[in-house]
Amino acid sequence: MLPLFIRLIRAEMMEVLQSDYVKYARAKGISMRRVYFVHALKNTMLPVITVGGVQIGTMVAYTILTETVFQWPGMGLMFLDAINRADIPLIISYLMIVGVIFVVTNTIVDLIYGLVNPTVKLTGKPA
Amino acid sequence: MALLEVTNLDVRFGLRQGEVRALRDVNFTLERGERLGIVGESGAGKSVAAFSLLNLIAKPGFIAGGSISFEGKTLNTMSERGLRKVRGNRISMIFQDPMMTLNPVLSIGQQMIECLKAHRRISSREARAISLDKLRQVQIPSPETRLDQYPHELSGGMRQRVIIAIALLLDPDIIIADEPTTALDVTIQAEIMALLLELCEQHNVGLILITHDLGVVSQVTQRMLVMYAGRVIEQGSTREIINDPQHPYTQGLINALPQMATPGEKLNQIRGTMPSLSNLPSGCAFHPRCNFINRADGKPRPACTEQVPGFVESGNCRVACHMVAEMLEDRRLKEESS
Repeated sequence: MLPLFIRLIRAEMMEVLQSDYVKYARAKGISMRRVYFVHALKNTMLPVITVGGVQIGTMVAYTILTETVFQWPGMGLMFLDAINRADIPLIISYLMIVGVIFVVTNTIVDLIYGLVNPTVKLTGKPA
Repeated sequence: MALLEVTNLDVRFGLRQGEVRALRDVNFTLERGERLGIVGESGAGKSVAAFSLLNLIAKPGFIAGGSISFEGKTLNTMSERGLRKVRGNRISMIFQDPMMTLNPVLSIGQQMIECLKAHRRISSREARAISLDKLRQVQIPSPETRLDQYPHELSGGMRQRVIIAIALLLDPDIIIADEPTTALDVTIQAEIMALLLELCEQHNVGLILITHDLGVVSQVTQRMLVMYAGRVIEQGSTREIINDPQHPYTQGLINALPQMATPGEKLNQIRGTMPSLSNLPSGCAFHPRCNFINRADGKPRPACTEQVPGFVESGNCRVACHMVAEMLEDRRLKEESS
């Protein structure tokens, strides 16, 4: 997961550093550290957060794979066993739990996104 | 000694195809409280000139020669640290597009306060008070609420007002305004320009105004430079240049103003387009578009195609054209005969 993020941050950073507001921040005489970490990084984080949310979801789904390959006792392995045994209630409960995890992580990501990006206004908050 | 003195400024861009000279032999001075206009077509090097003053040219551009001296200190050889003390503090900039220059994820207040804090040791509360005061000066409605708003909540005109307020935050000596009104609505343009002019006069701030708009230059500035293909071709008192341009290019520009055309007819224009900087014509870069050609064979004069023209003094102006003497002579003869 890390390489993906590093590459994404790098690509976004390259783009953001070309933008006018970074140039303007430099013209204001702000230290390069602040330009990089406040002006540029904050803008870079927006797409990274979006991708990060999806990645957390996939990470949960891929536990099936890791747990089977390494024979770790866990939910993923249990789910696979349940399929082999046609244990319907267990399959359903697993799917529902994973579904809930997905929904919760995405909600959290959206909330974080609202905090970082001022153009996103969550409902109920006055503009 | 002048407040800002630029001598023989030479800016190049190192490209794969070789070096491109974006600016050459640019010389000008700016006194305290003086207003200087820089005009020229897109690509003439106006913005590069502005950015090079604060050594802010993006790679692969670099200052290859000449000097920029501000209060006796040479800015182009100064360390990044030293430059940072000048940027925003003594010389501030106003960029072209207010939609792009403010950081979308930081509030107006944050962006103003960080600028104050970068140059002065003051508390956030004091910085906020100063910011508020400057926002009032640029006549923004309800400045208190603006401080906590984000750029996307303001209109283009208001954003440019905020940028002017930021430019004035630290009471600079010089403001470099790079086409401050081009991205704005026409109705707002005049308002913003008037505001900028008023504030500059009030605070005795020097202004370097970069624009396409000859009308604005003639109203606002005392002296001007006309640039073509990276070179200054005419410079001097604004009034003289506007009323009596000597260089054929400047004449063409002024002739191209819609007011100069006869009603019902096509607008005047300068034929051709500006050459690419990597492939400049020999001699005077303007000669392929120049109207001063040999009447006999319709070809440019040899001097124009072979030699880069030097400056000729003419009144309070300097003109880089081989033909100036001849033109003046022509005019004198015409006046005598009429």
